[in-house]
Amino acid sequence: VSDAVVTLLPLAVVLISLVAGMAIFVLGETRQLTRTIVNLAAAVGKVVLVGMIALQVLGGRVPEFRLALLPELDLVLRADALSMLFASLSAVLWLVTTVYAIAYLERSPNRARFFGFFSICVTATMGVAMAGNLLTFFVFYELLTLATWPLVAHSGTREAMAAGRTYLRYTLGGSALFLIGLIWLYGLVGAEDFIAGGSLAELGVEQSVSLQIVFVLLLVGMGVKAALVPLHGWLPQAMVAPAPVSALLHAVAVVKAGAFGVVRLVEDVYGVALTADLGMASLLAVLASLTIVYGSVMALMQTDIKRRLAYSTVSQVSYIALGVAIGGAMATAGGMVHLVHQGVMKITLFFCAGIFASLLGVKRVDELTGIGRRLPWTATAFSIAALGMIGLPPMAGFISKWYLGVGAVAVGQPWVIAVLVASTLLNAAYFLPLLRRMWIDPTPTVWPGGERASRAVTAGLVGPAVVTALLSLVLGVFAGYPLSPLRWVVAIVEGYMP
Amino acid sequence: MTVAIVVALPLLLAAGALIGGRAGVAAWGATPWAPLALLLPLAARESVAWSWSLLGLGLGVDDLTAPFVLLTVIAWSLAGWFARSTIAARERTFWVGWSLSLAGMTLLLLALTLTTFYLGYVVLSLSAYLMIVHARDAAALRAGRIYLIMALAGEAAILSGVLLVAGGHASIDVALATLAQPNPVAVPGVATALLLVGFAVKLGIVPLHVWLPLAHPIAPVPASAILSGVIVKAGLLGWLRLAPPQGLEPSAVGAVLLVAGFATAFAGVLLGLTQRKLKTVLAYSTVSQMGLVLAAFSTLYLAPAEWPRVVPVIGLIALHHGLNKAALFLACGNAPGATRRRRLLLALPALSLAAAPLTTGYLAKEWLKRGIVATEALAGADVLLALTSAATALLMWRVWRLATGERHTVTAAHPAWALLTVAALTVPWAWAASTGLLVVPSTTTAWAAAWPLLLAGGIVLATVRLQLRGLVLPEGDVVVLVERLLGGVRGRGWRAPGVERPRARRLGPRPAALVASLERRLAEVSIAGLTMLVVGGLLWLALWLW
Repeated sequence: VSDAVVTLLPLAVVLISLVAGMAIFVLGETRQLTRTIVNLAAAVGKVVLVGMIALQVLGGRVPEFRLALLPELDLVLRADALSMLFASLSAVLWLVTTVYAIAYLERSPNRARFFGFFSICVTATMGVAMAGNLLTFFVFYELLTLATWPLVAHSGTREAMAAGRTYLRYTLGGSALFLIGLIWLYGLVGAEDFIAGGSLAELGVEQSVSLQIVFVLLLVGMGVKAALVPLHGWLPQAMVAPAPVSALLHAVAVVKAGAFGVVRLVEDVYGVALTADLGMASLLAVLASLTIVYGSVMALMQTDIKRRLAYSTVSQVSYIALGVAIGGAMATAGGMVHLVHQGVMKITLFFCAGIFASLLGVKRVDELTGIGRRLPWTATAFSIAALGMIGLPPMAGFISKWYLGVGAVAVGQPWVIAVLVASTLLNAAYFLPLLRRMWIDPTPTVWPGGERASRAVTAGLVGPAVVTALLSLVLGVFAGYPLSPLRWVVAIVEGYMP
Repeated sequence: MTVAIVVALPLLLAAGALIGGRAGVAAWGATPWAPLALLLPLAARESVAWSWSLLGLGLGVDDLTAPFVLLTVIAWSLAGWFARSTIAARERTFWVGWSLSLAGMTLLLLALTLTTFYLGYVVLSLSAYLMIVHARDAAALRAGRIYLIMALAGEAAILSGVLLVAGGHASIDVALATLAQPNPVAVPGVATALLLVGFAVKLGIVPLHVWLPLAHPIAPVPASAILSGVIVKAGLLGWLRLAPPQGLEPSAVGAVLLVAGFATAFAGVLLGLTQRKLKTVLAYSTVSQMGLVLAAFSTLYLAPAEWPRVVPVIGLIALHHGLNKAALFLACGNAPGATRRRRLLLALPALSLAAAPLTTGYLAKEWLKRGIVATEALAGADVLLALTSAATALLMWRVWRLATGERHTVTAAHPAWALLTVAALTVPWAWAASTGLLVVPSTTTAWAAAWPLLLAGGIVLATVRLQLRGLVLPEGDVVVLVERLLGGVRGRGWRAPGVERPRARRLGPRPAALVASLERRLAEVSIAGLTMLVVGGLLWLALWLW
């Protein structure tokens, strides 16, 4: 492949869904078949493109597309190893979610609007993944904020509109602080690209107060999306969105973009050493630990399935921040790999919650009673993902937890074990009773509601859930395999901490 | 290759049972015999390391685990045969639980590394739940709930312990203790302590035993047999593999363990004597016997240099108890009091547990006595040990009375029971012969084993004469108190955490309402921002001052 083509690959992978989104808007509401084809073609095309870039990255190249916006201010799309981790997660899960969303929204109104913004949302996520500097990151991060709002408020009910408003207030507030931090930082050092180990080290001592303030501003910007307590309030409300949106929000797009931003901020802007010197690593570690425990406690108190899952996300996503905050090769790897592992497991849970709601009208946890016999495949998928969330081997969640715990002890921070154990027990307390209801308790004679679905629709809903459940199992069982996310992350971390 | 077969087989059977239909029926038919596959690695003694799987699996049979593997092969397959003939309802869930438990047991038996062992232990603990709640009635669900809560509490201790072990070594996985090398890696004392406590839950050491007399008896007969005979030994193997004497003051900890062992041995009997159900009495007997196992284990701490000689003895004790207890539990499903021959099949393993002369219990007790007396940690240890035999004899008398007093509908006795009883009486002797642990009976040792039984006989005669009425305690003893207490503290409308209720009623108790209102406030943006600033500021201040 020629160099010119390689340079354009990061741009292509971002633009492909933008083009698809535009096409879907133009096609309009009625041309369902064409829209479905465009949707799936774009999703498959994206997976292929990401695969091609991954081959380049494996070959040691770093494809980069650079566009000068203003003098000294470049828009940079670059595919390094960390980008590829997030990009391949997004591409694969996007394909699966597209299939699910087509089946889920089969007969509902406003599908053109939905799928159009859906595609723009993936454009933004890819941009976030590929961003090569903080400005590019910010541009796509904001695009993501705006493109997600119509999805959250999709149903148009009063509750949905309220959730949409809350979502915008939080995220735009965070963005404002992000922007201030960004400008301040550029005033201090100019426009630097993301670089392993950060670019601020030499500035460290004399500007430490400014750097601390800037870090906090940027962290608030990332933390709103990553749902760090106390900035998480929007997430449980946003669960009024349709199931595919929730799945996407929690596993791939918004929340993950925030967590990914935290990783970039610590590893590629400030660098681990400077973050620790400024005292920011401790701040982040404490905030993340607080979030992990608080989110789980709140999840325990929810009776609505999707709300429980939402608080579970609040808790689980902070594993990522905790890992980079602890530092050290193993804990960092544990945090980063949770980017993928949490995504795969949580998307399964939301897929299943959507299936329960749409096929049987089951929305509350007490209505799950005996559902294992009625929907065995879905219930199995849910069970695998839930056990993974608790962090039990051989599921993917165990791998993350093990690396986090061992890494924390290895760098002399054994207190993290208390957080991990508390999280494990709390996760068990809010997931295991659900599994008992599903499999052990007797099946009721009538279900709350739901509508009859054709075989094709059922397959389109259950298939993606089974695929992602299998992934959560396979990513754990084959974690030691050379191309697994774990091995990939370990290689990335070796780049940061040789 | 043999290892791959042994690990994959139960997983395939579980998958078959889960899918159901023809695959399910085929899987159910084959499941009883799956443990026999363990004979292959037991004979071949090969080990494998699969770096591609999880964090790297290391599997194989070594001298430390060999008696445990043998126990699993015999007890699990014969109990499986019995289960195949008797489990009639909810077969799918039962066999999924059975096969997954076997998969977990296989993994932890063959584990050569820390993460492999942990994997097997977790799979085993969770899958056993499916067998415990088999009856699906309120009692079974309660037993299952208490089992899970206790298992998770143990799991928390074990997870903390293993993370400290691996983290302290700054490596993702570490090797386990073997017969040749008890301390392959340096282990901090905290980790050893956590692991000792965590695995004690599985063994039912008092006061962590409360789940055992509830969960073991409520499962179907064959499941009780493997729970009480085999699965408890997973905790013992955990101690041997992960918590060898290291990092702590060995003699002090050893003394504590020895006392805890004797306390458990006597408490198990005393509590068991107050029970009215045959299987519950047997479960308390397991608690008591695990106290003896703990006493044996404590000698490792009291005399760390004796590791290579004591570990095979512990293996022998485990083999003896596992086979005899499994045989006694199978007896419960075969109307043991119905005919004279059945009463004999019941009496032999019972006498063996009470260490009557020439039984396998006599062999085990003799080694236990030699080990504990040699450490000189406790004056009069030999008398105490003899008294545990007398106590067990009393408990076995209780078993006999309950078994023969029951009114039975006599059906054909299952051959698995007779086979297991024969195995229980012979295999430990054969194992002792093959590992150089044979004890030649003499009149002194025979008398030492006989007088506790005569003492027990005297006590029995006296109580029958005096017509003493026994005290009756609920199963699981103190757990009932704990349940009441928790019920009182939480007030109306609260149950175990995670048990869902409609939202309006959940908000009753104060802490919950407080957190909920905090959450509502946080949902208002202004307050969230303010809190963020305050929290951040306080942290900053703390860091500054620090």
